[in-house]
Amino acid sequence: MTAVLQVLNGLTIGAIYILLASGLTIVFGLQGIVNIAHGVFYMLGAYLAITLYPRIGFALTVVAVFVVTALLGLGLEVTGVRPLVRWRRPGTQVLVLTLGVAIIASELTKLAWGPVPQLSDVPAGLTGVVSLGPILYPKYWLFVMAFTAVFMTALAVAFNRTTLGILVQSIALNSEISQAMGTNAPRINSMVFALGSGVAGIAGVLAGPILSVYPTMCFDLLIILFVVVILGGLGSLLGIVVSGILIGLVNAFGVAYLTGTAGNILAFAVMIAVLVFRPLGLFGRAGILK
Amino acid sequence: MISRRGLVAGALILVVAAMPALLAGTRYANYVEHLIASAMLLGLYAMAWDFLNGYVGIFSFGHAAFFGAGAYAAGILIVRAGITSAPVILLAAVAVAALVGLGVGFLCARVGSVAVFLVTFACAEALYLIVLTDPRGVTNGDNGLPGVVPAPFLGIDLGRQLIFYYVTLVVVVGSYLVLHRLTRSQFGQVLLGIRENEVRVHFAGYRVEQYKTAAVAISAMFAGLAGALTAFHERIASPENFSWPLSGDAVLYATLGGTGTLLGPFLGAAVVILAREVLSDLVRSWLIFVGATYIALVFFLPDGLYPLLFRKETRSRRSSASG
Repeated sequence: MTAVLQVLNGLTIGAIYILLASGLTIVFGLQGIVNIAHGVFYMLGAYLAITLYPRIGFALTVVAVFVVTALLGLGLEVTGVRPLVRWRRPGTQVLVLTLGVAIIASELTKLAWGPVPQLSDVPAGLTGVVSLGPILYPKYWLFVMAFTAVFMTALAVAFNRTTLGILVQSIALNSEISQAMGTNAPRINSMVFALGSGVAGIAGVLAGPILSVYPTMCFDLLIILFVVVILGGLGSLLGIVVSGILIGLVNAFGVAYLTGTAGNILAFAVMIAVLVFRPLGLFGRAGILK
Repeated sequence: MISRRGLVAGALILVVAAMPALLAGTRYANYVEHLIASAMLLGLYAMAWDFLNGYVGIFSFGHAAFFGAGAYAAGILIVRAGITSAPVILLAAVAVAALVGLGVGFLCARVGSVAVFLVTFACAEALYLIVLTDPRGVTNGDNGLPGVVPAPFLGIDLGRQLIFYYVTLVVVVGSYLVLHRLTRSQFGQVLLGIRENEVRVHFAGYRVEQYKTAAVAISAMFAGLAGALTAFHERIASPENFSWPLSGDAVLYATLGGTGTLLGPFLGAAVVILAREVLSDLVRSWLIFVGATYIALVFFLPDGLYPLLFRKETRSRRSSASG
């Protein structure tokens, strides 16, 4: 029975990884950059939820957090990332920039909310457990899985069936030719960056009651998130779904049967083992990863 | 004919060498010597990073893996194995760091340029977690390994601050000369070629993956040397030697000083360590300054401090690691 329980735990944690990794990996596919400040939006979402949820309820909190983090993401893209990309600076300078942003945000969070780890409340309608045959499982954790499943399905449809999705794919394939055909790539890049930041904010809201909320969480989670993104193959959506679930499961079983950090060490081992045989990750393609 | 760069480097060495004599007898002597020795060692560590980023185009965000490997090699040999001969320890530390470097380098050579950042980060973090959890009871977890004091060798006692100071100076100057020489060698020219255009070097018949792996291992050796000497200096190998903020420090010192220069990282380390000493007493959050420095550097000083002081002798590093 505990094994089934761990599978469910792994899927829940994996669901949060997937939500977070989606923004990171799409932005990489489009602009070839890694945004270290991605974890900041997640952290901000979690902290805003702690402050907002008791006042305005869960649904409004999700909406508010999405709007705030998406706008902040837009601000970062337009004022920071876009100029660097336009000046043709190496991708590593975006790393240094977003690292600076993440360090400052983490420190400001510590000043605003204090250094002590917190847990946010489970939303009112989602407390309690559901009985799944012989085992009881928290309703909220199932909700997180369902939310991610719906979101990723919607994302896949949007990616393949809408005009915007097709344009995004064309930029990912070849930004210059896509722009020569009339695509406004900078605007679409900004939109996608903002959306990814907003989704990271929502992931923070969802993770609040499950994982603890503290001022350096934006770095701690980022590490495992990188593992998910590399393992799946940078720029691949299908990749992060598979690797998100895989790393979630490795983590859950490691925590349950070994020790807390053993789960993370195992995740690194899996990543290294995969990279030895598939340098581009499970679903990485040479065309996108330059 | 001595270049301007050589003159300034020589003047710097003279100042550092004369400092203990100038300070002798004052109550700051001990403190300042400790600070300068730390700056030299962190500069050595950042120079190792710069060799990789500035001359090969590999952006590592896990250099703490090599620094920590050196520090813990020294710590384990002295505290656990009871081997206290300084040369043996330093050689072993460099060898262990080189091995870690070969492993990380093997992965780095296989993945894309931006993914290198993630892979090095993940490797260092994995080592950090292993040292912290200490599954075999070797690394002493959170507390680290205190008592990393080597025995005197041929009358040179590294446990004494002044002697350590001058030995560090010699090691740092020697390391610079070796790396400088290396970048001017044929091997170094191939590495520069890889930085500029990997595909072309590949088609010219060079085994790019092997060159990259070797470069990471060489950089790791110097970072490991800095780590082992730091463990001597602080008399402890602690888990922080593996932590990601230390990896970030290498990036900070080198980008502030100027990458692709080898000397710049020392400049960066000196400025940051001085600023940290002065500011951390005055302000509540030193890290906010670090973050702001990163942001300001990217926008206003992408080539670092070095070009402001010296005529820039290396080519632009702009082409490295574009996504």
